[in-house]
Amino acid sequence: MAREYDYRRDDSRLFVALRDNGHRFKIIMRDGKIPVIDEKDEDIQLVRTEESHMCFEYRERRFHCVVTNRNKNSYTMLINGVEYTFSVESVSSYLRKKILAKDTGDESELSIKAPMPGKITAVYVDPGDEVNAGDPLFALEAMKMQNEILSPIKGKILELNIKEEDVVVKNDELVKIGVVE
Amino acid sequence: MSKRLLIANRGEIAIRIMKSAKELGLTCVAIKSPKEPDALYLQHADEVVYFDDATRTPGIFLDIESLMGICRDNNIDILHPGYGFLSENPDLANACKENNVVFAGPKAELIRDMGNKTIAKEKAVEAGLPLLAGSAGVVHSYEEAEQVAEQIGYPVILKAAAGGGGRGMRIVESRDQIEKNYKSANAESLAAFNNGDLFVEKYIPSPKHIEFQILSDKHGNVIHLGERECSLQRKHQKLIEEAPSPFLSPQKREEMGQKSVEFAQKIGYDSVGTIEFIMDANGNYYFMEMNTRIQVEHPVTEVITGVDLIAWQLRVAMDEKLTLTQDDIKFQGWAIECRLNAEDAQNRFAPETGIISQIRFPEGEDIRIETGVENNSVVTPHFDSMLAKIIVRGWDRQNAIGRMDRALSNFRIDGLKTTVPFCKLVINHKDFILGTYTTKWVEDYYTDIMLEDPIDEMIAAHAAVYLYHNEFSKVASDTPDFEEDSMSVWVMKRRLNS
Repeated sequence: MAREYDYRRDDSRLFVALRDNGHRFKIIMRDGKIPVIDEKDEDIQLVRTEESHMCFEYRERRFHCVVTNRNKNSYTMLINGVEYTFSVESVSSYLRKKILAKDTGDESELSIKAPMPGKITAVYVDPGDEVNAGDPLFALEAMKMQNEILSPIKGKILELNIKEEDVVVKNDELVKIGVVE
Repeated sequence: MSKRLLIANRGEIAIRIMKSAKELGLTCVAIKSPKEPDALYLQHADEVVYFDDATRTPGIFLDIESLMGICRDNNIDILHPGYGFLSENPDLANACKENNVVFAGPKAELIRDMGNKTIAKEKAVEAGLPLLAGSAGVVHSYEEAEQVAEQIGYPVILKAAAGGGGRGMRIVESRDQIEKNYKSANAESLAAFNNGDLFVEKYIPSPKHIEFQILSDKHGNVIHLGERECSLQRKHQKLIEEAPSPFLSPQKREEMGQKSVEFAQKIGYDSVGTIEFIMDANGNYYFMEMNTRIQVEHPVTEVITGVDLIAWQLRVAMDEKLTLTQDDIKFQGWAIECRLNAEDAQNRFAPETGIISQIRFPEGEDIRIETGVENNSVVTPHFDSMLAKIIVRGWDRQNAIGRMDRALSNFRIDGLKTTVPFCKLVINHKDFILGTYTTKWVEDYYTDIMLEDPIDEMIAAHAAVYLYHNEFSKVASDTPDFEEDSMSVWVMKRRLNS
């Protein structure tokens, strides 16, 4: 790994920003110099920063960037009203993560989280039920909107943590489904 | 003494109503509720009445009795219901009448009739408005369904008479599919509603939503102010509107406008109102319903006609004669409105709540902003998610689209996600630019990936790394024997979190 020696010598560091959809950026941060992104020098200048808000300039345009969520090494950045979530890894942690991911293999269960805050208006399944991908699990009412939450996989309901009229907040774990092959 | 107006509403529409009302010399009374005690609309009122509805259901804007109490206690002469809430509730109009308060809307009977689909459609037929063809009543066999379908032509939709929520509903493309679909819809409907009755109706796969603005008084004068196109919808909620519609020829506009006026005359309409149509790809149009209130999207009509609809709504309510004639209505330029909802377009338009730490609207001569919020406003789950509207006018459609694009680019908000990125995406999409979009556009074409921009994504990646790197350097300098490669992922994460 020639690059590793490179960045050690000039005090630069190589990071990998990995998006939730698999997009990957290799970014070299160099003290006092513009970053190298995917082998290219990119003239991104920090204009100012305050708390969770950063302003960058790139190709004569300004980009306001707000950190809307931060969890360990995962950052959600809001830019032009759209969110992008990245986990940032140094090279060693990135490689380690890849190896770990291979070891654990496939997930055997999946937990369904509340995609938004709201009220449970109907529950269509019971623990032990078998469901197909696309089957409705429950209905969540957020403001005036009814949202049917569907099972993303074929499986068996292992846990059901909701009943009708429950009020849930975003990311509450509501249902756990065991994968059925 | 000037007359006193109670605004039985909140948000941007309360402010909009007060603006016109003040120009008419009315004293504006707004209602302050503990659900949003610092709301922007309160600052625009001449007087504010406090009403504690914190533990009451329904809230004040849905509570006719309490509203009447406020009217009595505050010597109210006129009540404006805005949109939503009780604006199309005939009981409010009646209660106003009983309490000698002028209701800024049509007569109660008109609200009641237009709110009843069956009656509204009967009246439409009487006035010669086209309706979607279908079975007169329920059909009892697939043969009967087939007979109706043959008459009206495919595709047709079978609908459960007792139905709702899409159950017992089937779209039938051709004759060979009708038996199978009839039987499954019948069985499903029977299982779901204990009633297997079905209707057959002509199905329009991707309709346009076109509506005509009516303005009339209590003396029999009726005019129309042209159409608005509101086809850009999500789950029947409008998101972007424009006037005029790029889909109507001048002949069609005149024909539909004329028929709309005849309908309003026939039913004795006496306020502002909107007649909604759906239109198929060939320009055939069908009456859907009439809305008896001022609509969210009324500004696009105001912008191209120069008519203040809310001022007229108040004036005709106070028995004034309409002095505008159809010939006075001239359409100038093109208007587009984008609704700015606190919703996450990346997450099925889930509502967003929180504090708006900063909001900056675009400014310019041809930009009109209707907002219910400002810096530090709190967006609560008590009310609907629309915060503001951006309306632009251009000399033609292309010019208006360009102006809207720049206006949306110059909008900034911190603290919440809004529908602005979605609106920006839509107005730059070829289907919008060509004017061919339909009410099915969001369902058929929209995915949240379309909101993303590769440069924004790269900048975001860099920003994340920048933050991580800063913290990383801090950990390194705070730890004398720190050496990156020797450190396990777990130890490093723990340090970063400590």
